[in-house]
Amino acid sequence: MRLILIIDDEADIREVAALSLEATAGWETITASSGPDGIRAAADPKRRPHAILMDVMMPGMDGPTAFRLLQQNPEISGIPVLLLTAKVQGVDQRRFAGLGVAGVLFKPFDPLTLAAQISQALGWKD
Amino acid sequence: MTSSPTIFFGLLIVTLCLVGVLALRLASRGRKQQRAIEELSSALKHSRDYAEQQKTKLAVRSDLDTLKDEFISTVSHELRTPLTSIRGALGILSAGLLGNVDPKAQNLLRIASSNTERLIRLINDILDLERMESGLAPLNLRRCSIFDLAREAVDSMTGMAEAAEVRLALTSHASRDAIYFDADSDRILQVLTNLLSNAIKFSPPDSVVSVEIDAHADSLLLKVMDHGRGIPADKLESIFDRFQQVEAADASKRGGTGLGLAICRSIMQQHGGAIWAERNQGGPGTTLWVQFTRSVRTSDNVAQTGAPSIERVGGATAVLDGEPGSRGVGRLIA
Repeated sequence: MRLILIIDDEADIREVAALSLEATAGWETITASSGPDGIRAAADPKRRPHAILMDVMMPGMDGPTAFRLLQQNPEISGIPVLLLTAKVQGVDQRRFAGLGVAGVLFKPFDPLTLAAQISQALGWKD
Repeated sequence: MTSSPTIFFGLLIVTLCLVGVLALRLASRGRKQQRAIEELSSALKHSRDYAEQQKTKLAVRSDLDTLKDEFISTVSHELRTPLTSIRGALGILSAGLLGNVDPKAQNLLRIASSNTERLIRLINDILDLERMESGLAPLNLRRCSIFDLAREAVDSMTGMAEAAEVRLALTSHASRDAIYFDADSDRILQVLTNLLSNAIKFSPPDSVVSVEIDAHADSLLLKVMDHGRGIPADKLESIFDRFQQVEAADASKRGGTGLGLAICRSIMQQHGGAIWAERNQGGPGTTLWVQFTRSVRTSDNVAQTGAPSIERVGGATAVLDGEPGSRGVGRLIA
């Protein structure tokens, strides 16, 4: 059973993404509404996520900053992070690719294929 | 008899006169040169002022472009965020992931879903067009084969053609070494799939949409011909403008955004090529032409060496049976 941490400041998007992953792939999800909350959730040793799906533009701490902080903690730096963004321009894509994240997915995502896109980006076969 | 002092004074006067005349002429030349220098300085000053003005204008324009780009990027982002929730919620409901839905409700969900998809396409197209027209989408040029690109486009549109019961046929009249040109393959594929999508949308069932390639000394031509209802003569030009459709209801009935051909024209202009529409001779339907400039390269002979003469493409057969340098015929029926 996969456990995915979804970090997004939009409650509706957290709910739709969680429902989509649960209903199409049977994965479990935990959600967080900000970068700092997400980092705390990822660091919980009792529920360590297999992957993190994180929004880019969030008030306070943005996705790239949260990603850098995650990388500084050796206990959770190995968790693959996928950015989920509504920024689709080439210049943004190149910037995100240069961060070292496991992948970049775009909004609006297709709820029926979101799990498959995550699996493909992370090379998961199950 | 004249005395020598008289001669001396006479010569002195003549010499003084000559010196005077010379001095006057020099002074006049000096004034002319002075005027010329003044004129040149004035012209130089004007040029400098003009250059300065242009520089300021350019800076203002560049600032405006940046503002416009930021605005479009922000609007696009702000629209995508609520659309993500809408698309997600509708997708989950209409797929029945949360249980079966009453058929009437299912139909409403389908309507909401398809219009959400249309809105997403519209936002993508507006962003795409703005980026191209403001020069923010530079071309990634490489050597491409027009036949391979056309085949890829036909392959990707086969599903849509089958659903509409339309056949796609690809033919090349160009010799095998004459199909290469410099282009951004993703952008050209975008043009070709757009033309095919339009042709299929307006084709009656059981008709053929044919794609033909031909090469001339300095140009490559590709045409997409359908046998649909055709385009009135007075609209053959305006269909390439934004939101200009032949019939007002086309966008809603056929799921287009009204920006497809404007994007195609923008891509072709970026490539230094051309795109135009013609009414079919002696029958209904339309032919869309695209034309690229072709420059011959010796490596093109090497590039296609070993290319198979017959290939299977998405259940259809592609035949390209010309030898290098000869006039060949390629055909793909999907």
